[in-house]
Amino acid sequence: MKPIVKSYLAEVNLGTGTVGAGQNINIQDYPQLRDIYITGIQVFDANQVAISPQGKTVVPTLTGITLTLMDKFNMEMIFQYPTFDLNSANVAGFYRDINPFYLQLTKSYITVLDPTGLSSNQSVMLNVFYVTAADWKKYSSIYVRK
Amino acid sequence: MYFMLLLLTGKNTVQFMYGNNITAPKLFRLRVPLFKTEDAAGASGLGNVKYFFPDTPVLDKSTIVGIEAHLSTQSALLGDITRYENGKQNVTVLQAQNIFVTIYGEDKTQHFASIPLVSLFPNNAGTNKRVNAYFGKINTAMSYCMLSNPTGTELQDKYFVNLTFYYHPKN
Repeated sequence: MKPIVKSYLAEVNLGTGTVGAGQNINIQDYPQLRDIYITGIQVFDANQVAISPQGKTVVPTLTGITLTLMDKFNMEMIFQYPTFDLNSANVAGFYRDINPFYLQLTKSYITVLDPTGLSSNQSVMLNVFYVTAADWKKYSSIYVRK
Repeated sequence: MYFMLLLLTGKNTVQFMYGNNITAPKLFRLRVPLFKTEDAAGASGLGNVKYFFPDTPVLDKSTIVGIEAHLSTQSALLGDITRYENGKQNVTVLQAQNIFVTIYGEDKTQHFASIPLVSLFPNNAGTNKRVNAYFGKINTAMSYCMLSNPTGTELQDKYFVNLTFYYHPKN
């Protein structure tokens, strides 16, 4: 578990309509998460967060949801990774380090594989660990593999 | 890593490193009150209520290398600290699900925005303790705990959030 230089809690809402199997939901734009290198991520369900800061209820289960993260070249750097394994409570308290890449958040998305247990207007909470591009030279040595 | 830490702390911190992690020479437990003196009861209403950290000079401009929350037991959700401390209540694992922590850096910008409090509580306390390695120099006066969309029922009594900061003091 590498040091966390900065973090931001992002929220992906499932929308007001019926949640469908195979549905992709893009992550909205967060100004704080533009021009960043992502270094790690955590995902939460209703056992950790009851109500999001935006007032939405949080999904009760993560087993039917995957996460895809794109870089600035539109490459799928993380493709359909099960969000259940990004919840620290399910992996002995660890959070995932990511080999840093320049994140393009607005083209990244979650995929609902199975809507069982999910309801409309619920949110998936993503705690994104990052270093801003402006600070990257200062902190990049933390993330070099040795 | 070594050069960056030298840059930030001004001293050789290699001796404090263990694998990916950095050991901390000092720990400080901070109790953040989830009430204001003018509150008659728990806050309620839409939106979020901020409760700022007490001024804590010992942590200001220190380089923190980890943050851990301490929560009390509620029903089957086991905590790691007593419910009552000097007659005042500590937040339980269940109540913590509505609380977020935002920490500012010494540059007065948000470094850690809305960390869910439960995520700072070591999983399976006592068996698999993992302290999240939040790292950097912080500004306690601007940092706060946030109660999300309170209904007025969760925290009617006056509660405290317990956070332990693992840190290197400033030189």
